[in-house]
Parts: sequence; structure tokens; C-alpha cells
Amino acid sequence: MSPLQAWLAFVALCAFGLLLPFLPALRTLRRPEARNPAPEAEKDAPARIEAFRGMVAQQFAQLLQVVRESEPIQGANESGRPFIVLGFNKHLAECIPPATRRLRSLVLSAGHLDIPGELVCDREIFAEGRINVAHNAVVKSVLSHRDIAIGIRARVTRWVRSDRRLDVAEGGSVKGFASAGIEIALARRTRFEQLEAPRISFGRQPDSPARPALEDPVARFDPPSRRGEQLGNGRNLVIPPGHTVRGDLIVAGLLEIGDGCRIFGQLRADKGIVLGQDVQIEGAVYADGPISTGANCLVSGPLISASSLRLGPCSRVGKPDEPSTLAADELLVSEGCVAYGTVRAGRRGEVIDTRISA
Amino acid sequence: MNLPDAALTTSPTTPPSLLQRFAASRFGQALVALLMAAGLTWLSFRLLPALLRFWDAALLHLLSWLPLSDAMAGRMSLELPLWGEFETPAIQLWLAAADSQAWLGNLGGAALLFLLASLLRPALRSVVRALAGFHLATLLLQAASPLDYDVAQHTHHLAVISIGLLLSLPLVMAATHYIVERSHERRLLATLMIAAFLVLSLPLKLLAHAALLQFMSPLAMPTLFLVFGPAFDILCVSALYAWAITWRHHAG
Amino acid sequence: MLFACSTATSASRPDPYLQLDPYIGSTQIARPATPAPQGSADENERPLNLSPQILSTPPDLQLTPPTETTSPAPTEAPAHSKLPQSALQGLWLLTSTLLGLHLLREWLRVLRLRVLRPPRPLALSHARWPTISILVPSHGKTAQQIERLTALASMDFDYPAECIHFVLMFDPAETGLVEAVAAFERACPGRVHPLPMMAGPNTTLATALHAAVANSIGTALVVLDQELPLARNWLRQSVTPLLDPAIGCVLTRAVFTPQDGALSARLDLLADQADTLLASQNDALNLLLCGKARIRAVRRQAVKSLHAPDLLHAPDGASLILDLTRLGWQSSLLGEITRYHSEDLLDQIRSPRLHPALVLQSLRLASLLVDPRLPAGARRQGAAAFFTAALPLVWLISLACGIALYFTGAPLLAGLAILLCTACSFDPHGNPGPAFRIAAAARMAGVREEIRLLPLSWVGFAHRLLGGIILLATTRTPRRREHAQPIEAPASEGAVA
Repeated sequence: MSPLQAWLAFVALCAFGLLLPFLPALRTLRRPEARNPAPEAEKDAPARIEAFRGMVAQQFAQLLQVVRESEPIQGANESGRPFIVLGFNKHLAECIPPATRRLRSLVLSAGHLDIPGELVCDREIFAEGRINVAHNAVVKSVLSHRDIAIGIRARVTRWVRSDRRLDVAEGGSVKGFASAGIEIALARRTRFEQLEAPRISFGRQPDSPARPALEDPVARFDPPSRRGEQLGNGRNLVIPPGHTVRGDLIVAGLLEIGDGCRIFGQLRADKGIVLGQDVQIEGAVYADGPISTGANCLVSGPLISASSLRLGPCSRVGKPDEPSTLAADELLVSEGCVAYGTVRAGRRGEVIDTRISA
Repeated sequence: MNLPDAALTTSPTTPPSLLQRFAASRFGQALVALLMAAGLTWLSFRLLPALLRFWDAALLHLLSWLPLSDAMAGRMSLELPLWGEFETPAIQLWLAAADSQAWLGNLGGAALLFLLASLLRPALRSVVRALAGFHLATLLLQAASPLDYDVAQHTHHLAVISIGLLLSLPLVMAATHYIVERSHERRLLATLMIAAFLVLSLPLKLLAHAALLQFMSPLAMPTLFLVFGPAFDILCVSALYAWAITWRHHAG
Repeated sequence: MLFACSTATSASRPDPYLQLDPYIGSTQIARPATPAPQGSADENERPLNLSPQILSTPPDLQLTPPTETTSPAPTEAPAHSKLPQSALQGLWLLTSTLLGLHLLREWLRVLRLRVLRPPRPLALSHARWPTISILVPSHGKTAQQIERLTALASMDFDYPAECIHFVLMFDPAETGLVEAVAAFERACPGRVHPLPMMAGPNTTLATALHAAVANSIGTALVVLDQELPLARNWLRQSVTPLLDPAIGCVLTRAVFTPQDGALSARLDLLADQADTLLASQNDALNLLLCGKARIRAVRRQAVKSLHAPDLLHAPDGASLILDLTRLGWQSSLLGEITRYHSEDLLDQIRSPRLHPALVLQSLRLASLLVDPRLPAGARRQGAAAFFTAALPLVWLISLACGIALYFTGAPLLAGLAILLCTACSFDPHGNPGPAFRIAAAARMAGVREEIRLLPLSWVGFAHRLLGGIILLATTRTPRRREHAQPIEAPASEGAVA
């Protein structure tokens, strides 16, 4: 090998070693900038529900027509996953051995569908009619064109979607995402994470209707002096009972709203917010700390806490024509409350049994 | 009407054992990562003599192959208080002091680089200009006070930094990569990949520096050390790290 | 290892750390004593007069043999050269410690992010949009301003129209402009708040901001401080982060982006992900420096608490100032508008990490640290702003120390300094940041492919840093003038009321 060749080979070797770590970067740089959405972004529950609905319409529509008046069909789809398709007046319990505790099949029904108690369903469930999930059953995902009823202490682990009404019985649990076309009704001691419906009711509803809203009142609020006896360091703010405030209240510490106050504006506090009874707020409520409300509060805008939120009995969040958001890391909702729109609990969401907590 | 066995399981699944649950827990994961980092560090310390022999052989081979005049490969050692003799490979090259031609060549080269940078795009342009300006500044500094490093010391310092990086690599990866990557195999693979790159590129780097110094005269030594020495090591390690951190768990 | 190296280097003072003396003693490379005879038949078999550890090739005999004088005997360094080197080492140690602490803090934040795994941001689909005010400053010629007002009046935002108010800054001496403002008022009755200010050298956006805040209503004051076309959805996009309770005040990042293609945009995307994700934690430290407005808000709060403590809780006209210069602005339509006014520098709302004048301004926030009358939050924000602004300075000093140490005979310390500086140079926005922070946060945010561009981001880093230094060296801050006061025009009274 001549010296020139040796040098050339050495330069080539060095260039290779130099470029080698940067090859992935250069390869990525050459790709067009527009890329597919991140896989994490595709995992939204509504998107998954729609994907499942599309899959049912695409792959099982004919099968559901065929099976209506005939015997149930069992098989496996292209990817080898087993399924059961039931017709009218056929029960799932008749299709599986009596001792079955875990079902690994997709279940589809052309009519009503009853999931037997104590059964663990590892795959999605679909019915064109009503779905009843019996006590202590565990289902992964449920989709129905009609009502869905989750029995006592039954659990949903991923998502549940009813095009009409979703009822969760006492002690039931909806982990993940639940949505309904008309209403979600949760009994006491149920647990939830994300709910979305035009109307979401928690526990037993009061017999008396909500009080009528007052007409536009005159603002009346005297800001307390900073050096006053009730306010120490000037970070907290207390609105005495019965006042009406027009404007945003932004507080570095704790914000307390007395009973019967009306606020036209946003509330925002770093430490926490305490609302008394019969408080009406036409605006949003945000706090980094905990929020607790008394009974019969009305909040028209979003009610959001970064830590915990305790909603007093018979409170309302949002309005039927103006849906809103109720969100907190730990969300405890008393019986008789109603939310319109979205409810999200980050870590824990529960309907409190007011008989016990009282 | 019974379904195939695949669809039904009549027996309850066995619960995970205590060890399995511990290994899956966050604490267990952290412990395994720490153990892995410690084991890899121990391994790299144990393998250091063998690596030194490999580097010696590689340098010997490359030098016999490359017509680099008057070059010798050897080892130099550094006295470390807690370590003792810290040996690294080095290349000695007898270079004449820079003459006026070398000065003119370096100055002209830097000026040319500065001017040619205007052809580049803005971000790259300013970086190349900064490099040319830095080289000019080091030339001025050397004109004021000449440096007394020779090529052996230059390559020895480069090797010290690279080997130090290699020895601390498992701990650095444990702190930066293991906290993001959860698969133990990928953690191991990424660490071994970067370590292999450092091991394989060290003789090449030393030789390339020696060749460049012979070509550009010792005046280029500060620029080569400060810009294409440890900084370049970090860039390569970061490039491989950035690639390793984007490995997907599922194919495609 | 690093500690050992530094100890070894400092222990060998005042000797230069590695003399050529090792050729005789500790090291095993020996130099050829005499040149071997030329033209030997087999060079590899030629007997060597070298030390037995020498591995490789014999010297080329054409070269002149090295002179003995190139290896000076180790001598005691003179006392006058010891002092600057010790000072350099001390400075290097200080800056390296600060950089190391910065690395440690970033690492702890990433670790906390990984451990706590914050829930995904809330999608507030039913949030009620807040009322905002848009400040339209008087930039450019009269015809341009009239054109801008006409375009703004006919703009069809996908935001509730009743929630948008306009604060129009104009020169009452320009009759055409006054008519345009009147036409704007007729087009949006009750939602226009004119702000007549005499044009002059001291009427700038910054000076008009106080009056604009007083004139505005709503939750946020949006400043349209550049002549850029608006997208239909930019307002909704920009205000949405305000509804996130985890982020008290979100300011879009204003980045000086020269026309250098898609790379910097993609790197910006990467770093934006990192910042947003890390900032959604409780201490949104980096977020504080995303815009001048946050600093302004902190200062405003500080001034308010000093001069009018009773007003601290009274809701004022604009609770937040939201500066928008980038989000939602369609760069494809910019055309001739993207020109870079050097005289606009002081008024442009941009990240202080990029703009040296703002860096200096945020350095002044150090005084907030020690004021006991301020709330703890303001003190903390001031501290965060101060330290984040000082980081580029620390980085530069550490680098300079490394270079100086190399030239004063401590190459290993220089190597360590370079190593540390390079490890902190992966934020394409020009603020010292380690690679793992951006990579980890971007991966958690779902950006995966772009992370591979990370090794290229030091190009952006160096570019921004150099740009900042050059800007700092060339910008002369004019003397601060009195704030311009709005003219009490009778025509504007009704609209404001």
C-alpha cells in the first residue's frame, strides 16, 4: 500500500468514526418535518372508543345481522383473537362453562347483554341493546348504543361509553374514561376518574328543586384593611357572608367566601379556597391548594384544584346549556351534586356517603 | 357450545411472587439499575489493563501501517493521589518548532475559514467563525507566550480525559439514561455501545491528532485540544445517548 | 475521577503538572538518543536504543533529531506566576461548582418528573373564555397603522367576540388615524378603548404599557408588538394555557429566529417541549424567564406591595400581561414584515435569555431576594430569574477559565472545564442546559424522533450565545426617559367608561 493510499484509508476511517455517532441525527434531519402524531397522543380514550366502534362496524356488522335469529357464533378474527357474537334473547352465561372466571373473548351482542357476576372480561364488550354488568364483575371496555348499568361493586378498568345513559350502582368503580350521551348517574361510594356527559349526577338527588337564581344584584363589598385584626399577613382574603363582588379575586394565600355570597368573576388562590353555603359564582374557580365548598353552591365556570376538592351536598357545577369542568387530583363529591360537562379526578374520585361522613 | 381453550381460562392465574413484585416495583427497578451501573463500573476497571494492551496493539498496528514520520507509541503515566500510576497510551512525534511558513499557513487558514463561513447558513456560520476566531486568538496567545506541550503530552491528556469518561460512563448513564429507559437490556446495550465507541475511537483519535499536528505544526495544538478534544468526546457520547434514548419498545 | 485529577494537578504545583522530565523517570516513552543510520534494510528489525516499553515505529531519519533543549528541566515556578494560576483555579472551581449545582438541580427535576409522573394536562373543553384586551401599539407609518386597524376590525376570530377588547394606541395629531379609530369603535361598539399618545422619541410600547394596563379590562393584556398577520385561532390557542391551573402565567416564547431553515425550528420544538413539561411542575422556574412580562408582573407586584399595600388584593385592569409574538402567527405570510429593526430592540418582547438588555434587567431582580417586605413567592421568583439569567455568564467564565488554565500549564483542569461546559451546552435557546434534561422531558412529552437532533443543538446554542454576546457588545442602552402620559382626550372618555 502506497503512502497516499494509506493516508486516504486513514482519513476515510477517521471520517467514518467521526460521522458514526451523528448518523441517526443526520438521518432524522433528512426526514420531512411533518411527522405522525406521537403514539401517546393517540391513546386518548375517546379516540379508542371511536376506533372500537369503527372496528365493530367494519368487521362485525354482517355477523351481527346474521346472528340475530340464530345460534351464537364463536370464532377468531384475523389476528387470532377469539370472539363471541350473541343474537336476541341469548345469554352469555349459556355460552361459557359454569366455572369460568375469566373470559378472554370479545363479546358482541345484537340485543341486550348481561355480564354474569364475578366474571372477569379481558376484552371489549359491545351490545346494540342495553348492557347489564352484574355485581363484582370486572370488565375492560364497554360500548352500548343504549343504556349501561354497572352493578354493585362491579368494575370497569379502561372505558365505558353509553350512547344514552350510564348508571353505576353502589360501590361500583369506573376506572378510566366514562361517557354517556344523556346522563351519568353515580350511586354513593362509587369511584371514578374521568366522566363526560351533558349531566352527571352524584348519589341520591334532593327532592326539592334548586333555588331560583336571584336577579342581577348591586355589587357590595368593602375590602378589609390590610392591617385589620382579622387579616394577618395580607395574603389571605375573607369575603364576609352575604356580599356580592363584581371582579376577579386573585389571592396569594387562602380565599374564604362567606355564606350566601355572589361573585361575578374568577377566583384564584395559591393556598386554597373555602366556599360557604349557598355561594353562587359566575366564573371560574382555580386553586393550587385544596378547595372545599359548602352545601348548595353554584359554580358556573370551571372548578379546578391542583390538589383536592370537596364538593358539598347539592352543589351544581356548570349549567345545562353551559357545560363546565370539575377537576382535581383528589375529588370527593357529596350526594345530591350535579355537574354538567366534564369531571376529572387525577388520583382518586369518589362519591361520599353523606350518611357516614355526617 | 364451548369455546376453544384459548378463549377461556377456568383456573385463576397464579399471583406474582414476592421477588417478582419487588423487581417490578420502583424501588426494585432503581436497585437493579444501580447494581448494573456498579457492575459495569467494576468491569471497566477490571478490563482497563486489557484495554491498555488493546490500545497499544492498535496504535502499533496503525503506526506501522501509516507513514507517519518519526512517530512512536507508548504509555505515559499520571500520578493520582488515590489511584497511583494511571497509565494511558500516548503518541510521541518529534516536531520542529513552528517556522514562519507554519505561522503564515495557520493565520491564512483561519482567515480563509472565517471568510468561507459566510457561505454557510447562519447558525453554522457563526460557529465556524467562532472556531476561526478562536484559532486566531490562540495563535496570538502563542505568539505572546509559546506553549511547552509536546505531542506526547497532548495525546496523553486526550487519553486521560477519554479514559476517565469511559470509566465514569456507567454512572453517568445510570444518572441520565437509566432513569428514562426501563428495559434492562436496552440500558446495557446503550452503555456498552457508547463504551465500545470510546474504546475503538481512542487510538484513531490520538493518531488523527498526531497527524493533524504534523500537518498543521504545533501551533494548532490548543485548538485541537480545546475544540476537538474533550468537547468532541462529549458531543459523540451525547449523540449516541440521544439515539439510544429514542429506541422504541415495539418494533415499528 | 475528576476530583482526583484536580487534586493531582494541584498537588504538583508549582511544577507544571507534566514535565518532560517523565521521559526520564515516570513515563516510559524515551526519545531517541541518536539518530539511527539511514537506509536500514528492515526497519522493524532494527535494534532500538529506546526503552523496552517502546512499542512502535522508529523515527524517520530524514527529520532533524530533536534538540535536547526542548525539554526544560523542572524548575520551581516563580511566585508571580503562581498567583494568577491559583486565582484561575479558584475561579474555575467556583464556576464549575455552580455549573455542577445547575446540573444537579436539573437532574433532580428530571428525576422528580419521572417519579411523580404528573397527570396529563387537563383538556378544558368547557372552560369559559376569559375577557382579554388587545393592545395595538402605534408602530410604523400612518397608512400602515390604518391598514392594520382595518384588518383587525374585520378579523373573524374563533374566540367569543364579546370577550375581546381593544386598546388602540394612536397619535391624535394624525387625522387619518383618528378617523380609523372612530371607524373601529363603530365596528366594535363598547369594546374599543382608545389610548391617544403623542408620537415622539419617548413614546414607546414600554412607556405606554402602564397607561394601557390602566385602560384595559379583562384577565390578560395581549400586546401586538409586531406587524404580523394573525391566524384565526391564535387567540384561542394563546389563551388556552392561561386556563391551566398548574401554570399561573404562561408566556409564549419569543425566539429570535433568523432564516436558517427548519433545523432551528425543530430544535426549538424540542426545547419547548422540555420547558413546558418541566415548568408544569410546582416551581415553574424556567417558565419565569420565558418572557419579559412575567418579570414585569413580579416587579409590578413588588412596586404595588410597597407603594399601595391596601391594593394588593384589589383586582386591577389586567391581572396578567400575556405577550404574544410567535404563537399563532403565520410565518409564511410575513413577507417584508420580518425585517429586524435595531431600534425596536428595547421594546421587543423576547426572552431575556436571548436579549442581553433583559438579562441585565433580570439580574437586577437580585434586589428582590433580600427585601423582607415582599411575599415569599416574589422573592423566590426573583431568585429564580436572577440565577437563570446569570447562568450564561457562569458558563462563559468557566470556559474562559478552562482556556486560560490550558495556557498557564494545567491542561487536565482545562479539559475538565471544557468537558463540563460542553455537557451544559445542549439547549438550542442559548441557555446552558444538559442534554439529558431536554431528552428526558421531550421523550415524556411524546417527542421521540426529534431527540436525535440533540447533538446538533449545540450549534444553535453557540449561535444564540454568540449572538447575545455580540448584541451586548454592540447595543447601547439609551438613557431612560420619563414615562409618557396618555393625553386626556375627551373623545376617548366615553369609550373607556
